Amino acid sequence: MKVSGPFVKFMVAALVGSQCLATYAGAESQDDRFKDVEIRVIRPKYFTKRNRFELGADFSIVSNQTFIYSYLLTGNATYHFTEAWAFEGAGSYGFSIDKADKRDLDAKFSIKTEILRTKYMMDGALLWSPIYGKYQLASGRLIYFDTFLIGGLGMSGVEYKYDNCDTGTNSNNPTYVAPSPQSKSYLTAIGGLGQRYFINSSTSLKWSVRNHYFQYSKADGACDKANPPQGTDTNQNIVIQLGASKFF
Amino acid sequence: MLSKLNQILVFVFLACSSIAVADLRQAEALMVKKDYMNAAPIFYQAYSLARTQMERSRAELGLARTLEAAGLEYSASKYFSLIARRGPGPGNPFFAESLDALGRINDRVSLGRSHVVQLFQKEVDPSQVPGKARGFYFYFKGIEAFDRKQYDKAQEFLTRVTAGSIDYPKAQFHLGVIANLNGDSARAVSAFERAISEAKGPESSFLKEQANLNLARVYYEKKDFRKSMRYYAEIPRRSDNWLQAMFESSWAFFLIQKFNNTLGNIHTLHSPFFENRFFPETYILQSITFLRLCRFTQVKKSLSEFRERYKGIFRSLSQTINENQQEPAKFYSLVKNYRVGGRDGGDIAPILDSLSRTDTYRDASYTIAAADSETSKLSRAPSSWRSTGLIDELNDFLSKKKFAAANDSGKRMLNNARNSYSYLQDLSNQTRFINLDMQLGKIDKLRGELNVTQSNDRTVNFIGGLQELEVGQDLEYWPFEGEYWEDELGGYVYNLDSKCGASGSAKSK
Repeated sequence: MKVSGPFVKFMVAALVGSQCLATYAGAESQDDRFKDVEIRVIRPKYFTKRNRFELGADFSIVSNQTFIYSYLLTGNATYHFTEAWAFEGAGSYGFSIDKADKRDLDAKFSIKTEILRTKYMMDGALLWSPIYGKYQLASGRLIYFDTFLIGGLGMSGVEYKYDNCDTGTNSNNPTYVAPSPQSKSYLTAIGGLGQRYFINSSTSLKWSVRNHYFQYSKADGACDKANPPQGTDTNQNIVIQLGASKFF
Repeated sequence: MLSKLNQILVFVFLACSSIAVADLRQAEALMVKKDYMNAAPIFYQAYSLARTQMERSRAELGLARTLEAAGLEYSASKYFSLIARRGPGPGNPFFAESLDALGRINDRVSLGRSHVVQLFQKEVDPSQVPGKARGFYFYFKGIEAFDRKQYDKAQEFLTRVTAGSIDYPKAQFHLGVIANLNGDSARAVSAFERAISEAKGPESSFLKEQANLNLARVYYEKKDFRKSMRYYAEIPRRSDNWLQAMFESSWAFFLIQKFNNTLGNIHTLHSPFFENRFFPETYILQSITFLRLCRFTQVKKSLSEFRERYKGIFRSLSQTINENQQEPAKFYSLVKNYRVGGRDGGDIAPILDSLSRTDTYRDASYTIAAADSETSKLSRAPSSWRSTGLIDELNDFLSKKKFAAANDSGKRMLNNARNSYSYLQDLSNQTRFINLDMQLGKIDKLRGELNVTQSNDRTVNFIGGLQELEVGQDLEYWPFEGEYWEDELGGYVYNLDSKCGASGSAKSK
């Protein structure tokens, strides 16, 4: 295995078991960057992204929620204005399922957990692909990849079901009626990283891990709307996305 | 007493004759029913008992047809050849059909050069050659003359191979070679291009590659190195000809002062992937390229690597040639054992490897494999094939064919091996001259002798893979850090400046 450029340690950790070569795709010309290398391979780039649109679909899962599973389908459109830089617009929509733990807490201990259920997400982000490289599988087949970092802004749509609010006979106030379910949108900062694996000159398989960080008003999820808690809190959704994309 | 004997002889003759005629009728009836396996031995019996030439010819033709229909192509060719060899004429009405069938068989399983040469030993009026067999006939007559270096005669025959014949692309290829030998590069180019455009199907890929290589050589000789490079670049990486193209294009790069490309190509040729390939001249080219860059330490290193790599070959090769001189078929087996038997070739492995990639080895191997496959089919034939003696005759024929193929190929390969020996000796002498001149301080003189072309092609830059650098092209760079990657072979470009100083030659691109 041989690698070069920043983020090498990360790459090395990811590439155990296969032969890999990665290189840093920065702003300075490649000829300059390899000027001290006595022998170089110079050839047309296997996969060019400059001035190409990329349309993709991902299966996304919010991975850091204790009591629910949130699954979303994501569509994204990316324009690569250079080999290294691109702008991505993405939208996700999905649903969540309660985990057994949540149901057990309610059934056995009457503990009702307050949950932020992510229903949709949308964002615009800049993508920077500083590393491209190749793996050689044991069979001899080569797979080219790039690694990208992503940063941007968007909205996270949270669904409040108010199913944690005590109602009926269990409630201290028998006349209490829980608020009607609603969705609220919050401005979200996004950061993450991922990789694309180019399976031919127009198709890639990709994965990414993104942190969706947003601030929300505590009052939005309050059961008692007459005396809501004051202030705000923050939430992070660590979203793992797996998908494929086509370049045009 | 004498008249009694005559009467007996006449009786036996008539009896045999009537048996033969009856056999022929029976066999022909079976053939109509497509019962080839039972028809063949009866035809053979009729052939053995035939008392007139016409009966014999009918039996030969019937036997040949049934064997061909039964998928025993070489065996069929034996009897078709017997008819064809007698030449055309009123006494041989099946000549045209037999020649046609031989052309058809040769398209499917190569008959081999020695077989075809024997076929046409008798002078034939070309107008008597049937339409479908004309391509086959003229092509092989042309090749026969070509092998004897009678190029005018070869050209005369080869130009008569018409478009549409399966032999047309091969004929065009040879016409290209002849035109080039005659210094007519324009005709050579059009002949090679016709060979490429007319060669269809995957089985023609080798011919196309050879034509591209020859086009590259024609442009190389014309000092049009840019065009030459384009044709070298046409040879696919998976091809046996690819390394040859890499090697020859290294010289083209050298002549247009693209020394970093020359060294890059040589880096590929010297990679461990090709440690048994025979390209000794690359060390000489590498040393003179370093010399042009005034990198004298590397010049010495290249020369010493040459000696190190090839010193063992001289004695072993000479010994192997001497041992096999009288038995070329044994030499063929040696090459075969190296190629397919996985036997270590020892010091001469690069020579054996190089020989195992020649047309002559390939053709012989194909013939032998096809003959083996027929022998195996024959072992499953009905018992009547054995009782009539047909199987023995066919096995004997196939075994002789295999021996002839191995022997002929062995002879040619021994000749190639001798040439390789002389080539190595010549290169070895060149290393001594380069060293001597360096030691005597004649570097300027030597470098002057290596003065290269002032061609306009020098202004073009090349990336790996023999490709011209295009403006605005997105490139990928991979550093070579001592580890060879298979996909990078052919893509290396050195990054060395000339150390000749202000008075030296131009800086290497």
